[in-house]
Amino acid sequence: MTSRSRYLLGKIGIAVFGIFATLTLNFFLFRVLPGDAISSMARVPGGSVELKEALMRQFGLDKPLWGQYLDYLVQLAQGNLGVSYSSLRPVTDEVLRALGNTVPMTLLGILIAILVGVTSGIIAAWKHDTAIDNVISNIATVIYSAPTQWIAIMLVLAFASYLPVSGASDPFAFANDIWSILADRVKHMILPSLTLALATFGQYTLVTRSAVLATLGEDYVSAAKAQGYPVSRVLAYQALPNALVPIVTLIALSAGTVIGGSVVVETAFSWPGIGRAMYDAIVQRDYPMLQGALLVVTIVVILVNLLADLVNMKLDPRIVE
Amino acid sequence: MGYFNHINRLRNISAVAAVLALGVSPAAADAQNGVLRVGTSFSCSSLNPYTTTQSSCLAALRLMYPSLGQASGSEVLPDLATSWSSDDKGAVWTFKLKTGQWSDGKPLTAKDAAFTFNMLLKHVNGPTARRARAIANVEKAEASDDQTLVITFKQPTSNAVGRLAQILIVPEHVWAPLAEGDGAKIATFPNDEPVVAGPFKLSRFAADQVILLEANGDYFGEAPALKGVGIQFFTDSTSMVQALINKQLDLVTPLPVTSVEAAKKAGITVASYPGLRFHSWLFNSSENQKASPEIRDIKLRQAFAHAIDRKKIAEVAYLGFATPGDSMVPKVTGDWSNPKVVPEKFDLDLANKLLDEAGYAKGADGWRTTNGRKMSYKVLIPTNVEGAEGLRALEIVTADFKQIGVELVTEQSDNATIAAAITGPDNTFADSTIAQWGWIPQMDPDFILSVVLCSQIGGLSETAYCNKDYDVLYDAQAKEVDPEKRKQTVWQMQEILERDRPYIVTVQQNNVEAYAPGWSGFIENPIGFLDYTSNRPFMSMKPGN
Repeated sequence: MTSRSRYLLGKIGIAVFGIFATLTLNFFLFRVLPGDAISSMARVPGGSVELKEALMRQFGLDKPLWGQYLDYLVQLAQGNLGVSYSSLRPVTDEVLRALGNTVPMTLLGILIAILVGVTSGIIAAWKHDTAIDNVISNIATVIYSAPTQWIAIMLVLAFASYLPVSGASDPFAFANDIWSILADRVKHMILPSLTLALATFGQYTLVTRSAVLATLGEDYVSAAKAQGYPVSRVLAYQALPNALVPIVTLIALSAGTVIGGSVVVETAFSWPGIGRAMYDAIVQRDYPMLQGALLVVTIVVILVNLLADLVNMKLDPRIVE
Repeated sequence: MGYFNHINRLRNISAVAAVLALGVSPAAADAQNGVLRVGTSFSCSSLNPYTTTQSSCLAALRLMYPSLGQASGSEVLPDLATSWSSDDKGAVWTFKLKTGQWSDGKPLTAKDAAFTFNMLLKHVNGPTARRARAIANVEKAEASDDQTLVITFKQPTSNAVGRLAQILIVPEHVWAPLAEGDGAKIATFPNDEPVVAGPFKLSRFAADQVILLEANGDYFGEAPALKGVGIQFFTDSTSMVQALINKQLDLVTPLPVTSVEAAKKAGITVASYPGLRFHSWLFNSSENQKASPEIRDIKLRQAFAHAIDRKKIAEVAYLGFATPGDSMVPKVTGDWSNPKVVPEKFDLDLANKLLDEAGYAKGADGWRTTNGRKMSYKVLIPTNVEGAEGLRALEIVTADFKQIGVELVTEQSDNATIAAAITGPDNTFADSTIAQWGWIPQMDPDFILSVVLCSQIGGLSETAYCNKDYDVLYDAQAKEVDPEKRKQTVWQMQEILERDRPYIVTVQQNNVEAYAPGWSGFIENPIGFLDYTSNRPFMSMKPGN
């Protein structure tokens, strides 16, 4: 077996193991949390010992834990993620709906962050130890350190009269042509995406800067410079390709945010996404919703990271050794 | 037939769509088109009338479904029922009903009402258990003709009409198939396209985002002044308040107290008035709790009550939007609240004296001891419901308690964790001592008085308080149909609670709500604008002054 296929098999093995571990952890993790789904649901004017028992029966929580686990695996094998305790709708539908809201918004935000971050990182590295580098590095560090909810609130206060500040679409509009709907969705996306972009671009700037800076010191870059190649060519063909590995890894890690959403951003903008859904599910101890959402998110993140490993292998064949 | 219904439905939706679309434009005068846009932080995830307990859902459902009556203070105003009377014992109640039409064109009669009550009764130990209190002691419901509903109770029952009026009446032809067998389908029915007969009908529901309602032209009662209602759910109050200020909303409930000044500056009317919600200290009364048995000492609780500066909590922690609390039956319920139960005077010297007399000696380091142990207690607080105000309140008390030689250590978590910590492990109440939490009582005292019953241990009880004499009085008031006699019992129960203090009510919170200019008819409703017992707050709102 070549070292290449050994590497590949190892990575795939880890991914498969990760997915199976998630299936089980997912089930037990939330059940060992103190508090249960029933206590807050039963804390209502009709509350009584009888109500608690009725709810336990309704959700199958009166069975022993192993029985519940078996039910869960059997349902999962049939592709059934269960029914949400709070909305009474199938978890699959709920997760897909939330993902449909989250992914466009986070994707836009992360893309802006990557674009701005990587570009500014390259410029800072090229102009290192100059005023430009200082300005870029300091701005990136300061904004990256600012709490996300603070950035969100500042944007809400500054732009509330110009742009929508809550929800994924205008709740009171019934536009029927696709362009008005699209325009409305995009308008709602601007502030949350911008918040996410501002909150995260700094890490791309700083990682890109230090990765490019490291390659700029290499002999082959000096050689290219000495041969009189223009700056853009040296950056594009010599420095950047060799600096890509940490950047690709960082981008793959962002997949977690793209799919998992951001609880803080989604809360600040009342965004009906997956991060918010998971937060609500934790507070309400809505186990099926929590299990389903986390399962989908984890699988996607594991797969994207596997993809990043493959890309890195292509970028730097030495990785397999 | 089905096809035409569908066309009609589409036409109605596009009519309200036009109106609602106008409503969002900041240029269009908001109140002109008669659509009230409400923003709230109380979310709504399901429109199933028998499983949801969220106040937004219930308030919206109350605008769509008929009920026998609508609460107004402690009274009930006619709705589907035009009049009612009972036999001499107060066990058989006869309601005269209007007839109407469901939104799918089928007739609404007393048979639907009888079906609803019987369905709830049949499954009360299962899918409809959440409505058990409202139909307590009901034996059966019958429609003697299309306009007469007769409800028979197993025994005379206090506030019978008030309880029954809480129930939303659903169409038999839709719900009968769900109620078959064990009725499990009642609890899992999403009800996304409800067949209704109330003043409004659903035009769009997106869980946790928005509910849009349009006026129902076939409503059996007087048509509402509003052409439509939109309720939008916010997870962040900054953006909610900004939406109100920028004319994207007409009314906000509740308005965060920190936004009152900003709203007023923008020309918004802010209503602040006494509400039902109270915040309190609760003491574990269970004998299973062995580490700090002194927490069961009534003298100690009395001393603690004198060391809680309720006025300062109301003014500083709640920014003045609260008043010192007293009885678990709030003063805003009127006659039900015992006027003799008043807040203890804040007096640290007296608290110190009471603790000295009770034998809790102060050591050289200033801390009191008992059984060779420093008097230090963990105070459990559900931060997600008590909020920043609750934490500030606890800080005030902690500082004052230092002066009486008692150490308090705040332990925060979310409500589910705290609920488990209070009652645990396994409902034995063996570990906890003190917690800070609150309740939102109803206008009728029955519910809040039931929280401290022995039978609620394992249910609603968060103190494990159990007093057989109190329970006897509770049963007596629940059977008493003469309000004056019932009041005496209810007052007596409050005196017992004041003596034993399973709870120390610290503050009574105001309802703070705000609405835009161009609207009138706002009523100060103790339950708040989103009322699960009455549609009056919405029905009385009018565009124009």
